[in-house]
Amino acid sequence: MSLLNGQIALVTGASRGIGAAIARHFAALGATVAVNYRANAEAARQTVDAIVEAGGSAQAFQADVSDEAQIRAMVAAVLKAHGRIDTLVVNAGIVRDNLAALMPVAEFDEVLQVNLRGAFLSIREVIPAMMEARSGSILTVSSVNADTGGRGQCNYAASKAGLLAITRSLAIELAPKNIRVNALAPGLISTEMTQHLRELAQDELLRRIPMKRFGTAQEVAQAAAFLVSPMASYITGAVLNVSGGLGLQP
Amino acid sequence: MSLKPLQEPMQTTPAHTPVDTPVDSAAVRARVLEIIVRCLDCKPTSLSMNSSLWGELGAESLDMLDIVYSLERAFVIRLPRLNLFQRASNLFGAESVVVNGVITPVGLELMRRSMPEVRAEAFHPNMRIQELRQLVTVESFARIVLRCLAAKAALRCRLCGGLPAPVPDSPMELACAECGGSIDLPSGEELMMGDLVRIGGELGLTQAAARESVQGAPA
Repeated sequence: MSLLNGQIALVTGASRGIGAAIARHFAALGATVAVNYRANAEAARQTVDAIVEAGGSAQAFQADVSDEAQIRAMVAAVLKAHGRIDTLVVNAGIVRDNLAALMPVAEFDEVLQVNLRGAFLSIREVIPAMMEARSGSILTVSSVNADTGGRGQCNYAASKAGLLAITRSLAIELAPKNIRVNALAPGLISTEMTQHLRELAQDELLRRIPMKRFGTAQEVAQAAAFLVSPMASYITGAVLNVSGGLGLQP
Repeated sequence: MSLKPLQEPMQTTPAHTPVDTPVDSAAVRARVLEIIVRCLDCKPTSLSMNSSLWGELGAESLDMLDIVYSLERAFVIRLPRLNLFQRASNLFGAESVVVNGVITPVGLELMRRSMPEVRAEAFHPNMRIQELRQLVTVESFARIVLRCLAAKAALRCRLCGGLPAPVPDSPMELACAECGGSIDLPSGEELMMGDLVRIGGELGLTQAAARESVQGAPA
């Protein structure tokens, strides 16, 4: 039997990058995946098509995670379609890098709106169904930057650190109802989001990674599958770095 | 009296069949008890309608939320989220109902009339806010559920006056059995608010918003 057989998983920000890799990997392991996207319907369709062509089950659901009404409608739609949500992966996130002195407030706010407020709204909406099921797994996708910080990323790092605080708080809060809450902290992963950074300073970045290479979205997805699976049934409030050792040394 | 299994949806009425059955309060109480047993993971024998959830059964705030969610889905109703005293405090102004953590006499009377399932002597003079939650029993939840069910039973379509019916595959939604128009479930918050306004009015309490607008009006 596959690791996630029969699970219903909702993955936010799953049209591209790490989210799409998680959606595909979960489906390959037997989960039925609700693929959330905000604006790129074509990319979401491609993720769904790839899953279905590989023999899996998936459906796209549009919602801006920072919008309370849209999140509510999306979770209701997923519950209507599948009856329950076993796993929520809070992955939707954006970057608006800039030096703090030059950063418009709007860019700071926008990142927190999506990465932090969006996470809160997504999680809050699935809690009733998971509580009723007496079972559930919530996985947030944070970043090693939550601990290390990053030049030009005060907004992003703050949002990801906040996400860890949400993860730990809710792990405590929801544990009595058998709902586990964990976080992944990816390092530098080869995705569209980090492409510009990797092109700009590849050698410098690789010097900081003990494993001397960037990670892949698939490697993050594998760690995600472990944390939401029954293999991690006694793990809650944990932060799993998927970073090739990035952040371990000064 | 036979009870349905907990996992089974409460409403098994076919799609767009009107919901017009009278509320069987004994069956509702039994089911409320059953749901609370499950939420608190306790033995049915340890619970009665008069059991205090916070005091005797050691319920925590998350358990209360769990109970609310479970009751809502089981009965297809919308329960209030804020507790009664908080709502009263917002409505009539904190100073009207509590002074230095002690509930005022009028605040006490407001609570007593709002929680008729609690014996009157339990609302003692100099009662502190924290003590109120000890008075919440299984029967308190049954009362609120019955209140919401009564409001739901009175629902009619605004467009054609038709009876509400469950929406297929969408357990928390209702639609008109006649014209198919959407019908909102009665809001538990609004019901609680309406009851408080009525009882507060009987006790001569003025709503804080109304008081502020009078105070703010030009001389």
